[in-house]
Amino acid sequence: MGYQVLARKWRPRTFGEMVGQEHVLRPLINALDNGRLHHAFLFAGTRGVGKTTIARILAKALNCDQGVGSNPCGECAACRDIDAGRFVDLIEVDAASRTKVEDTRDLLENVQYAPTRGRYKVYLIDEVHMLSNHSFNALLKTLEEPPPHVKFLLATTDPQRLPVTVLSRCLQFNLRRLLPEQISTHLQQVLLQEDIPAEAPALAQIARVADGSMRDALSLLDQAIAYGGGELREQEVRTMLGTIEQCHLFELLGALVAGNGMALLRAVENLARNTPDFSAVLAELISSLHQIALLQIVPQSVDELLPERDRYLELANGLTPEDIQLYYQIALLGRKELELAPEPRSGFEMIMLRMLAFQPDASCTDDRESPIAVSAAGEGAPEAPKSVESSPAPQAAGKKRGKRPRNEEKETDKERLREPLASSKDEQWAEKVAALKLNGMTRQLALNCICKSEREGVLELVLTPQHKHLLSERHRQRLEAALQTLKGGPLKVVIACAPDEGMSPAAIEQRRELARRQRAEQAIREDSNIQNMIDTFGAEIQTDSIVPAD
Amino acid sequence: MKIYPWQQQQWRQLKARQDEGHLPHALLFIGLAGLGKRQFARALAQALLCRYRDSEGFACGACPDCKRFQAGTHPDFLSVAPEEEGSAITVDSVRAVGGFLTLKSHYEGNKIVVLDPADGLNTAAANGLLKTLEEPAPGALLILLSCAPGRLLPTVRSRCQQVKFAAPPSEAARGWLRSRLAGPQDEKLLLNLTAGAPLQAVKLAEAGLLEQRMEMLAQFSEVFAGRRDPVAVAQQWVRQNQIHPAVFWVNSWVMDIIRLKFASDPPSLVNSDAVKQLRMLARGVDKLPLSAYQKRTASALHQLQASLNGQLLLEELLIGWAALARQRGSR
Repeated sequence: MGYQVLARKWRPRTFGEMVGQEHVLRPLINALDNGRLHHAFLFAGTRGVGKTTIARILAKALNCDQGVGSNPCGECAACRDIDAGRFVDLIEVDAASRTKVEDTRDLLENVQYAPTRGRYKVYLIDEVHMLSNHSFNALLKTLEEPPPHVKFLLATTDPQRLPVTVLSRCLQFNLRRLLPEQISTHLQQVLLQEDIPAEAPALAQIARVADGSMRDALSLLDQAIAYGGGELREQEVRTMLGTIEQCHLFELLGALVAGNGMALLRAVENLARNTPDFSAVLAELISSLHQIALLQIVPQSVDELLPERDRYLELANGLTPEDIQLYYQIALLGRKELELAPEPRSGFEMIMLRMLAFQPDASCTDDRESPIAVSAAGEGAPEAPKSVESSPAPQAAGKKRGKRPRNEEKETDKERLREPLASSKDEQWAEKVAALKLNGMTRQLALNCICKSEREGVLELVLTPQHKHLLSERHRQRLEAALQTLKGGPLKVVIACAPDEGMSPAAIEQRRELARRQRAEQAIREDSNIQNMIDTFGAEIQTDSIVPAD
Repeated sequence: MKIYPWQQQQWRQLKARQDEGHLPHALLFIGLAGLGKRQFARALAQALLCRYRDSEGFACGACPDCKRFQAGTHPDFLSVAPEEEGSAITVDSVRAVGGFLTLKSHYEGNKIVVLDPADGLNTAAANGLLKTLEEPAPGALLILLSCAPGRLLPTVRSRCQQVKFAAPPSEAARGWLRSRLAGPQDEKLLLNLTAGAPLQAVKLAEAGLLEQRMEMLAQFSEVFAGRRDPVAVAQQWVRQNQIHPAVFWVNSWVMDIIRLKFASDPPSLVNSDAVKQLRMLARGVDKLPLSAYQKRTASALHQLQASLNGQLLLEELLIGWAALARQRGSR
C-alpha cells in the first residue's frame, strides 16, 4: 500500500493549484503579501472542499525560507518538511481524538516558547468542533492574544458547534461547495497528468455524484480507474456509480402518469436488475420532476437542448402541477426514509407506490371493491373476506363488531332507498350534474334545477321558486357550455322558474341525507350494547349528536 | 480462508489493484447484511498479511503469518467491533486504532484494521477516526464494513473508496443455498424474505422461524378482524422473545399488502407462501392509511436498533393495525 490515493497525491501545494474558493484565497493572499495577517483563522465547509489544504498552504507561506508571501517556494527545507508532514513548528492536532481539557492544556503550555526553526509556530486544529466545552474555554485567552510568533488555524465541518466566544476571536472563512464544472475540469487535468484516457461524460457524472466535494470526486475517480482497468468509459462509470439511464426513469414516470401500479412495480423490477444505487435513482427522479414542473410553468426557462425534451413535454402534459408537487414532496421526504430502509429496493418501491396512493381512485376502482361486492361477483375466495370481516366471535366482540353489520345493512339500504326517492329522469339529471364538474354558483344552479324535457337540442330546466336568486344569464351560459362539452354537440339550455313538479338533485340529496340520518338513529337505538346501557344505567340517547358515518 | 462464490468479482478487482500497487488505504464495504462482507474482509486481510499468496491472491494458510492470523494473534491485524452486539463502537477503541497504526509493522508488511460495523461508530468515535482515515502511515489499510452507508458521517464516507456487494443472481443463490441446507426447503421464499442475502437465508432456515411466522401472520389477521386483543398479541410475541422478527415480519407483510393493493400479481412479492391471507387483508384496508402505516413500521424497524421497550413498540404497531381496520369499518 505504498500507493497514495489521488485525493492525497493531488492535494494542492500552492494557492495557485487550488480549485475554486477565490473568495477565501484572495483575502489570504493579500494579507500575506501586505503583512496584515490575523492570528487566528477558522475554515468551515463541507467535506473535501479544501479546509485542511488551505491551512497547510498557509503554514508553508508563513514559514518558507524565501520569506513570508503568498507564493511559498515549495523547494526549501521548510516547505518540503511541511509537505511531508514532519515540520516541527507545524503542530497539527486531531481535535476529535484529543478532546479533553488536559490535552488542550498540554498544547497551550508550549505556546509561549519561540518556534524551533521556523518563523511562526502554526497550530492547525482539525475537526475542532469535537473539542469539549472546557477545552474551548481553556483556549479562549490564548486565542485572543497569542504571542506574536503563534498562528492558530482551525478547521471544521460544523462551525455551529463552536461557542460564539471562539467564533468571535477568529477570522472565519466559509468554503463553498465546488461546482460540477470546476470538479470535472480538475479531474481532466489530473487524468491528463496521470496519463489515463477518459470520456468526458464519465467525468461529468463523477463530478455530479461528488456533490460539491473534490475529495469525493477524486475517491470516485480512483475507484473508476480501478473498475475500468486504467481507463474511464461512460458506461462503466455509470455501472460503478449505480446511476441509471434515462429510459428507466421515463419508464417509472410513465407508469406514474398512467397511474398503473403493476407497470410501476415492473419498472422497479427492471431497474433492480442493474443493481443501481436507489438513493441515486431517487435523486434523479427528483431532478426530472423538477424539469417537468419547470416545463409546465415556465417552459421558456428550460434549455431547448435538454436531452429528451419531447418526452419531458409529454409527461408535463400528462400530469397536473399539483401531482408534480405531490410527487416531488413524497420523493424528497422519501430520501431520508430510504437511508434508513433495511433494504433499499423495497424502500424505493414503497415510496413510488405512496405517490400512487394519493391518486383519486378512478384508475383503480377494481381494488376498491368492498368485500360485499366481491362476494356478490363471485370472484376469487368469496367466503374469505366474510370470514374475516364478520365471522361470529361473540366473546371477543370489540366496539367495532357492533358497527360492522350495521355497515353492511346500510349498503343494502342505500340500494333500497334509491328507488322510491326520485323518478328515473330526475336521477339521470342528478348524475349528469355530478359529471359536469361545475363549481360555485353555476353548480348550485344546476343542483337546484329540475330537468323537464330534452329534445331537438333544447334542454328545458325548471328552477324552484325559492332558488330564483341563483338564476342569471352568466351562469346559464356556463351551464350551457358545460353541457355542450359533455354532450359533444350543440345544445340550448332554457331555464324557467316554476313551482315544484319533481325533485332537483339538491332535493334528492337532502332527502337521502335525511333518510341516512334516520337509519343511523334507528341503528343506534337498536344496537344491543346501547340497549344494555339504557337498561342498566338508564342512559339517554342525545339524538342530535348522532352523525351518520360511512 | 475462502470467500463466497458471489464475491469473485470484488476479489478480482481488489487483486488487480493490489498487483498494480494501487490499493488505497481505506476501503468501505457496502452491502446488505448476510452477503459475507465480514468473511471477505478477513480473507483479504489474511491474504495481505501472508507472504505466499497463491495465483488467485488467496492466503496460503500454512505460513507463520497465516497461522498467527488464524489463531487471532497476528500483531499487525486489529479488528474493531462493539463490545457487545448492537452497541456502539466507542471513541476509546478508535483511539486505539490511531495508536496501532502509528507503530511500524512487526513483520515489515502491512498493518490492517477492520471496523465492523462502521455505522456502529458513535459520533465521537467517527470524528476521532477522521484524521487517521485520511492519512494513515504508509502500509496501513483500514477496512470499514457497513450495511447502511447512509448512516455514516459524510466526512467518513468521502475518505474511503467504496466496494459494493450485491445479492447474487437468484439462480446461483438458490443453488448455493440448496447445497448448504439440510433437507428440502423453499429456497426461493427464504431468499425473498432476506432480500436475496444467502447467509441471512441460512440463518433464517436454521433458526426455524418460518413456521412461527405463519402463526404470527394468523394472529396478525385476527387482530385485524378484531378477534384478538392487540395488547395480548404483543405480549405473547414479547414472551416468545420475538420482538425483532415480529417487527421485521409486520413490515414485510404490510409492504406486500401495499404491493397487492396496486397490482394483482406484483413481481416483487416477498411472502409468496402467504399470498392468500395477505390478499384478504388487502381487501380490508385503504391505500392511503396503509401507506402511512408502512412508514410507521419501517421506522419501527429502525428504532429497534436503539434500546427501546419492545413491548410498547409492538403494542403501538398492533393497535395502529387494529385501528386501520376500524377506520375502514366505520366508513
